[in-house]
Amino acid sequence: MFNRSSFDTKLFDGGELWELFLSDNSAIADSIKRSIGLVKADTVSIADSLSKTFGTLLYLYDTLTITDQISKGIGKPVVDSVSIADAISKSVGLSKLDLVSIAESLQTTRILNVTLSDTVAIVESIAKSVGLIVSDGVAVADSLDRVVDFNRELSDTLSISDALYKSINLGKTDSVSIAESLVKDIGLDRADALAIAESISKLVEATHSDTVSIAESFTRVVDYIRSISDIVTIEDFIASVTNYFLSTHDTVSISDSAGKAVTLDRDDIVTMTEAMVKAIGLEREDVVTITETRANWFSVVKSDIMSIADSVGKSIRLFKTDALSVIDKGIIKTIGKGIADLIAIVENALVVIFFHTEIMMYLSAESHLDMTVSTEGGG
Amino acid sequence: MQTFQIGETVVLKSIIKKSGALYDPLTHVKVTVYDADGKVKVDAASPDNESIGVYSYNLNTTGYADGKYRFRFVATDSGKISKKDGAFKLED
Repeated sequence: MFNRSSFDTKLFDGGELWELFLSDNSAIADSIKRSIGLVKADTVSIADSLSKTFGTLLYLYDTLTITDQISKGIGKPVVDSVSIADAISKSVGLSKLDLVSIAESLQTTRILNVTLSDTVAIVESIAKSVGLIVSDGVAVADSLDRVVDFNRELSDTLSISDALYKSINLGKTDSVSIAESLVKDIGLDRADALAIAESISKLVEATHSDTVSIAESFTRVVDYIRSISDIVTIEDFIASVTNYFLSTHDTVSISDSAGKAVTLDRDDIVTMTEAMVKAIGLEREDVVTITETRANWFSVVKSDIMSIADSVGKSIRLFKTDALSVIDKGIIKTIGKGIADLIAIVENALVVIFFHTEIMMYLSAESHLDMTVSTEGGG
Repeated sequence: MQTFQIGETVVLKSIIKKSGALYDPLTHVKVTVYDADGKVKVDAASPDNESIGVYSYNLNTTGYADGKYRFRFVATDSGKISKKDGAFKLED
């Protein structure tokens, strides 16, 4: 049953929906369904849901289904299948794509997340699975927990389960399960798999993917990550922040705090600051600086500089490349040795003292050979 | 500027170095002599290569008028040309 409407659907008696669907499919049904065939298209079925669902979700993923039915499936799914069941489920097949199942959740679930991941599944069932699972599998069952997530998740899935689980798999993809525990997870996770479970499990696997499992843990985990990838920082701290970076990648930082930075930067830097800044460094590449406060610079700049400043500034520099500065106020003292072009626009400056030798040209012409001539008397 | 007597053989000499060391240009060395009016008295003559980097040309000044003369050594080394001028004076 498909409904290709782009906007809301309210087909469920007793239910309330204030959701704005931007996705394609939304279907609610109460029916017995038999299906024998080779299914190649997406199927979505929802049946006999007694739950009251209050959703304030922002769905960025495709489908959500809730069912309460006996389901038998014999087939070879080629495309996505989504089912939610409150029943004994047997599935014998070769699954190649995502499988999500949700059944009989009695919870009052309020989710305030902005979920960027794909699937959430809640299941209360005994599941037996014998197969070769190539794609992600997520199962959540009988969760009575209250789950509060403040995650900013970059990984794919999150599941909660309290089930007797047997798995004989050749798993090649990630699996995540969380069961019966109070979990608070505040972090920025970039790893693939996280599993927290309190269950008896037997696993006979040839696993190729990373797995991390933590059972019944109340551990507080604090990670100090030395990241090699890109860094984007937006801060509004009052505290003094001292950073010692050895960055090998691009950095973009927007801060509104007192900061100290001792850097050895080798890549592009874009900095917007609104605080007192002291910087001592050796910068070898492009620097774009927009400052609005007192700034002291002691730097040896070897590459292009564009600075827009509105502050009291002192600058002692050894310029070797182009420099462009637009200064709008304040006392500016610049002591330097400029070899390349210098463009300065100063507006409403109180005192401006330039000690620049703005353009220094060293002319040198040498002959290919060093020749001297002389005359002598030949007699 | 040295002064010579007319009829005297004036030895025009050039010492050529490359990177501080005496050097023989790979192509050739020529010398040209001009009188005070700029007329060519000796046109692109080949000086003697006395030793590495040392070139000399014996200029017979018999019949020359008195006055100033300029001479120019031109060394061509793999397409690169270097020049050096000198002068002397003849008198009776």
